[in-house]
Amino acid sequence: MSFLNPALLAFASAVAVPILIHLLNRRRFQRVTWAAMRFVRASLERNRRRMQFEDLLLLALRCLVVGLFALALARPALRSASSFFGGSRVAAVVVVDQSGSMSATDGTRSRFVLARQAAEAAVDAIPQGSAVALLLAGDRVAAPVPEPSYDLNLVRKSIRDAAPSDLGSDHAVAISAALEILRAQTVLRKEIILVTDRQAVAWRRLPEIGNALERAGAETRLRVVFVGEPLEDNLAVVSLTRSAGFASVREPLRFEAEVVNAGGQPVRQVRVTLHLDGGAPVDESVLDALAPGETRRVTFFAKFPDEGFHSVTARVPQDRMPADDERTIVVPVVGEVRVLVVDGDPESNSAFFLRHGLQPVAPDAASRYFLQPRVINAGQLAVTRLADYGAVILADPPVLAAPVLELLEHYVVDGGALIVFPGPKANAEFYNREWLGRAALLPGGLGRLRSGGDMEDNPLHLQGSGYKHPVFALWNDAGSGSLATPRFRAAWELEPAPSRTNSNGGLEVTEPMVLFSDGTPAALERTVGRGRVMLFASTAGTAWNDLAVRPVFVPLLHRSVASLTDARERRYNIHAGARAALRLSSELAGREAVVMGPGRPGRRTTHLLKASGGAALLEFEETDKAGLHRVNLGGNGAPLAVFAAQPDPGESALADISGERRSEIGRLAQVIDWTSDQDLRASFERERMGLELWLPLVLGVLLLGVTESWLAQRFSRPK
Amino acid sequence: MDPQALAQAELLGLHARQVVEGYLAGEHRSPFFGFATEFAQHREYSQGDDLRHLDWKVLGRTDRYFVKQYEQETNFVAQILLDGSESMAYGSGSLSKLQFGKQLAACLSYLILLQRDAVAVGLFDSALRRYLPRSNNRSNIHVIMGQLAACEPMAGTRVGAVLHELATQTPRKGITIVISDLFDDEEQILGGVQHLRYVGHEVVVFHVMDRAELEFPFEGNVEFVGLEGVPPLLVRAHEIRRSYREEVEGFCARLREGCERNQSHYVLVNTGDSLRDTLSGYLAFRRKTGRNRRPGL
Repeated sequence: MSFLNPALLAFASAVAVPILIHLLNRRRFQRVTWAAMRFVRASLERNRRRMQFEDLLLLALRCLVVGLFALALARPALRSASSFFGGSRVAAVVVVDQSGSMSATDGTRSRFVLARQAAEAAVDAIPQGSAVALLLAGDRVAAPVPEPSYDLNLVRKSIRDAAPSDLGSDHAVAISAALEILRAQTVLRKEIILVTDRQAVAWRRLPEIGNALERAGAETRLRVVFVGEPLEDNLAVVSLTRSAGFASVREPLRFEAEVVNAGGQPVRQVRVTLHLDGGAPVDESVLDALAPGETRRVTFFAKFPDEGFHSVTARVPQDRMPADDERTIVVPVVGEVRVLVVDGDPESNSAFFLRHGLQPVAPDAASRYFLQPRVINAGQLAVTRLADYGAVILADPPVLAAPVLELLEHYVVDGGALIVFPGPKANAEFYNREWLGRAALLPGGLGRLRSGGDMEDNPLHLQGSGYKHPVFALWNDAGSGSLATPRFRAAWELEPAPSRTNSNGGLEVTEPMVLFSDGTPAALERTVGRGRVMLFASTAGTAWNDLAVRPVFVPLLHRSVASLTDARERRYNIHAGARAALRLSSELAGREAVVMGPGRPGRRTTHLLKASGGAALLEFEETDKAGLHRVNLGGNGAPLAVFAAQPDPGESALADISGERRSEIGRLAQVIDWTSDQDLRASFERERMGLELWLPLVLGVLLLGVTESWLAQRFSRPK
Repeated sequence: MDPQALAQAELLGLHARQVVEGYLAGEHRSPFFGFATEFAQHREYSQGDDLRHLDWKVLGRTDRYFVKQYEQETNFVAQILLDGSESMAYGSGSLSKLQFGKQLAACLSYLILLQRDAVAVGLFDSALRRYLPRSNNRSNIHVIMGQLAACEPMAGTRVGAVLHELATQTPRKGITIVISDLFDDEEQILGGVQHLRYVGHEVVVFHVMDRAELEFPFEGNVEFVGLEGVPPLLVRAHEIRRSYREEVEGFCARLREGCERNQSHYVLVNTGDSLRDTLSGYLAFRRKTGRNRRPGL
């Protein structure tokens, strides 16, 4: 037995009230001088036991009425009892799996359609008087009915209105959210009814689910309703990326798509196509065979006809899981990128190599080249408008004045790209104090300068393989040459900046982009505000190394600049469910933008553009559906911006949970394999144990009250 | 006798006189007539004789008509015993039982003296406190009234012992009229009646009860404080009303039965009733039944 309102048990002290009234009544009497005492005494003797019994009975009934009423207020509950009174009401959270795997069909109905039917059946199986909340969950949670509601018709309507999404799966997120909702509920029984498919990946955090349920206590019960049938075949595009580099007009750009056979049978002759702006295929490739579970990378090339936002889609033949049969990314194509090279040491040749490396064409073609470098000295930096440049490269920077450093900081924070090649003039102590310590601008500090002596005889080399950073990933392919050939005779020791929490609350760890052959970092990169900063350990000229005269210099330089500027591109390609934050022209601030979702017709929502940091900011969170989202004013004209939500690649893995996993789930929850039109009431009731006793107690109080009144009237009749 | 007592005696006498004269004006014959007469002989019936005096037993045995003749009527002695115990002080209305008993005793005394018979008056509680010897002098009525008026409740009741005492002390036959609430041991009371009967007295018992004592009309919690030193009792009166009435009715019934067994009159008197009606009713009853009684009854 437990009490849902234990504080109200204090009312049980009111049991003393009938006793006090009884005692006070005994002190209130009429006094009569009487002669015939013998008859009174005889009558009293005859009736004494009966009167005492009646007194005690009425007193006991009155105390019982008060006591039971106090007990009912405290809402006692039996954890385990037969539901003679029809079972106590519950607070339930119905969680409908909205992840991408729920779009898989059996040829007629998708798993999500079945899930909606099962969810309605679950609501029908809730005891009368219960309250139900509704969550739509993938790896994030939407709450159409955020708090348990007694309006079950509202819940049913919300279920019917629910749409599938392309979110990832993580039941731990959904169950955690449901437990949070139920925590505030004061009822005997709390239930989480999770309607989902049997996808194994969704249960990857099962131990955490178990711990959360254990913390929630025995009154919270998880019921898992499995819907849908296993899907044998599924071919999916799980990744589409473009190679690092600039996306410029009429320049061929390489795209890589990853195709996986997530089914259990091998497939042959898989045609993979690439589409620009939803048009006809511009490139295609045919995979001879894909074994079950095998992933194959497919390379495509495409040219963009003009500037602006373009969508690129990789597609495989449609199957019963259409959500992952294609993947779209947005590529903002630029006409030219202006790069500012700051020559910090006129005696060095770093700026010379940087300018020619950025624009490796004949002088007559330089004006038409998509990279337009401009070289200035450190003194001019203070009077240069940095916002006009896509990237700023500091070559052998000297000690910069505080106002100049502040300009650079604002430039990066607002989304600029900064590359630093420290040289002999670099003041490590100043760098570490002002650039890293105060402004947190650099991805790391400068340590010891390694030069001379042994370095002349045994120069450092860059790592020869195993590149993880996109800038260097090109050289994982031996055909692209080798990064290990340049020799570094002098270099600063780079000390990665400590991890920190970014504005989204995530932990940001500074990882080396590439290492020297001795394992020390050769370059570091980190995000600062909305921009990014790269710090190399050596010079861009030939003072300390021969990188600038090696064939890898130009692609390395271009990919570095492109990688930094591409960081802006990432905001146009987000994960399904993630928040899109687009910076538009400041003139649009205060106007309403219309976002058209993917599909035909796509979901149309209107958002107010807010002024923020010299731009009009569009924040959009309803990105649970994968595909292209277009932003424009009033739905007409060229889009102001385009962004694409990417489905979770994990959703393509439709493998069902193993028998062992199912047993583990069964230890935490009631597991029901739902078939269409199955009544869940019987399945639930078998497990619904427990009884809230306030109703029987109130009925008992009423019954006792009536009995007491009847007996009091009967006892007080003249006898 | 102090003036107040005297005034009370005057009132009592006046009231008795009113009651009795009112009664006689209607009846013209004393119901006590012939109480003390005794059978003398039979004589043959002749026309004009009262058929009530016809001896039916002789007629049955001999088939001849004889009427009974009595000895010459003589003055009889009536002694009236009034209970002056504390329990008689109770009264729920305007009159206590004692006051009612005094009036009843006064009326009877006046009536008896009016027909030139002798009357003696005794006042008792746990013992005989005062006794006015018999007298047939009408002027003594004032003395009787004065004694009755001066009677104040003092102690508990021992009716049985008093009746035994009187039976021993007054051997001369007569009528003994007991006016009391009889709150004493039933066996003792009936023993006293039997003793009086044994010595030749005709006994008439006026059992005086207050209306509240008969009906017990109380409601709710009532603490009854005893008049004769009895400890108080707290009861919910309405819950014992029925059993109380049963007790009272049982008590009265047993007394009535005991009296009848001893060939005595038992008269239950409710002080809530009119004294005139009470007296008239009893005397009418007595007038009807008294002449058929055996001599001495």
